[in-house]
Amino acid sequence: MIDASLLNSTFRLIAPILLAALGGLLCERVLVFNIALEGTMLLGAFTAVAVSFYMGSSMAGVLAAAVVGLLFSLLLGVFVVRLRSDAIVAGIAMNLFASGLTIFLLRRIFGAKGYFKDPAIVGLNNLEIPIISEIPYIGDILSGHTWVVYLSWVLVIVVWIILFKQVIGLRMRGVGQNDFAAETLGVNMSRIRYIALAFAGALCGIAGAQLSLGQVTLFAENMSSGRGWIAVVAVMLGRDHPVGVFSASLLFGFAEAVSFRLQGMMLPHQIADTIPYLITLIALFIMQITRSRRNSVITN
Amino acid sequence: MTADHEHDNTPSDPPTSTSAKRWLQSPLRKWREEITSLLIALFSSFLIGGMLILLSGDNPLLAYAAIVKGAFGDSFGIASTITRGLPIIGAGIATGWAFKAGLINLGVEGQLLLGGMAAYIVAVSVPLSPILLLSLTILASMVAGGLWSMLSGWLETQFDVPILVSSLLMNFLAIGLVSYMINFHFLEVGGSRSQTPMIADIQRLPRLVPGTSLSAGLYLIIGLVIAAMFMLRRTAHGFELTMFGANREFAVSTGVNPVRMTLVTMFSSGMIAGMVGFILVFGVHYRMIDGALTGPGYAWTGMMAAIIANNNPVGIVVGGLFFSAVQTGSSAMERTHGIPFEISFVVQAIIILLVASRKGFSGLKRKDTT
Repeated sequence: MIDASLLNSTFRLIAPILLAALGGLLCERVLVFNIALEGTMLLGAFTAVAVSFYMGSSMAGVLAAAVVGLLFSLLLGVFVVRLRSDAIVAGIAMNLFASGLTIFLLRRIFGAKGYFKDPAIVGLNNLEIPIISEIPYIGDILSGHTWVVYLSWVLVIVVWIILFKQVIGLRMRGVGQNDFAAETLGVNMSRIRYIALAFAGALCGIAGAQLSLGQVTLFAENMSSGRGWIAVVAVMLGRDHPVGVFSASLLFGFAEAVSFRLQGMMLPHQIADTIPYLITLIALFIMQITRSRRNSVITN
Repeated sequence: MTADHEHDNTPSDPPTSTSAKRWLQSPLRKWREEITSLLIALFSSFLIGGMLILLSGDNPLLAYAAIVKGAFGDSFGIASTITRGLPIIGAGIATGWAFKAGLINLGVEGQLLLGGMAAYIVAVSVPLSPILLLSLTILASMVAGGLWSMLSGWLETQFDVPILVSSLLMNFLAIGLVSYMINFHFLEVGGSRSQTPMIADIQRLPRLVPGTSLSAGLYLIIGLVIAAMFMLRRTAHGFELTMFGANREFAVSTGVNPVRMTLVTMFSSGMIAGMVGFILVFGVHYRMIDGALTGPGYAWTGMMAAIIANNNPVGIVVGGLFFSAVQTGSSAMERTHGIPFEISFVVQAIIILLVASRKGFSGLKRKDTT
């Protein structure tokens, strides 16, 4: 059952979760609990389809999704950072806003209800990596993805470098460890939070574009279907570290790939659909158990 | 928005005279500020919604007139507004009850769905006299919703898995599970949709206004609101729950058992949600239809009502009826003017966003989830 094509789809399916989770990680580092990843991703998915449809370019679609995601996330920033709204209420409101707005625009712009699919939407092509695609098995797994998938892998390294090798990352980590101390040492808290949110928004926008232009070539109402929330869990599981977040996303991508596979084989799709969420819950559960064990060892 | 916020930061406006000063210091002042800020939020939201309608090429004033006419224009509109308002108010009380205790139950949608399904299963499979069966179906819906919700609470108290995350993810599990049961175990033979057969006439909640879907569920919701008010204002449990939400450490130090409070509150919250599922199945649809309980977003609209009402049951009734009127009116507007009904969701979300800039969950601090 675990063959190259299953692992290939795993790597394809982790991209949206991974991208959103990398964004969530940066927010978490500066103590902004961002649960609007879901809505930002959804808005990105819609923008990507709309722009690709009108401009005939998937690249334009991805870029527009990143920009819209960034702006949307900055709007969240205005509420959370500037107006000091409760991050949870504001996040929920932003998610509902994105959901309502995309459904409204779907009907208003495209006259479509439920989903919009059109040959004029240009999807993302799968790219073969020259040398790796020649290697048997590994080539089948790692090659043949959209550029956004490769970008998500590169971004793991980029986020790692930003966090651990750059001044801005040092400041972010400082805020995460002791925001008061960081502020007294001259870190501009608002500024660093806006930067993290902007980055997260762009990443979520791209994640949405991969969802609507990479995995399929259509936009469906609420098509992010909880992936932003799974990303929130991936940040927790990955303990705010890019490599940890990558591993967690790998698990969830695999769960989703298995869910698709089982759907085609023996399980009714209603049950198969629940697998990713079930795995997410179980993973969180196991992590908390092992952590509380470890903590009790330390404190005792 | 900004002006409003600055007003918030400078609570002591320069008094014009001593009597005005005394009036400002009265408890009414807090109310006045609350209501003023709410009205500003409402006005701004409809302004933004209006701009959206204008941008998409329609006349917002005509659209809003159509909404008001659709929601309150005739007895049918009013009955529809109340009918849609019932599950919203119920879900709002379910959410607000947990929020009041500082527990972020985002799983009302799934709890409501499972409640409806459990009640349906009992109704079609247990042979009992109608009255006994009715009580048993209500009980089944409440227990199903309550246990599902309490599972989230248990995951938090025992294993530190945040309720916020587990309750939300469990919605997807409930949706899959119920859809599976409808399609594989209770599917109507020869039906054109994914739905179960209808329940017997005698099991249905009686309709109050002929020609509308307004059912005796109204009495259940009225009872629920009164019970919630009474519990919060007059009982020790309600007092402890409020205290637990406002300041958990303090509540625990005065002897509130946090594990017990979390589990009981999550159970109650899910129980109310389950009952809402019962009202929808036995008062409106008379069957389980795949997606009919989650599609209209009752749970989420109810949550919005809880947020703007600051979890006050009477406020939730007002907020729930308001959102229901906006949605009912928007459906009418879609029929007459062709503007998508979903504009109501956009306006609602903006209202919440603006209200959220003023307040959070009562006393709830940002929880370190990692």
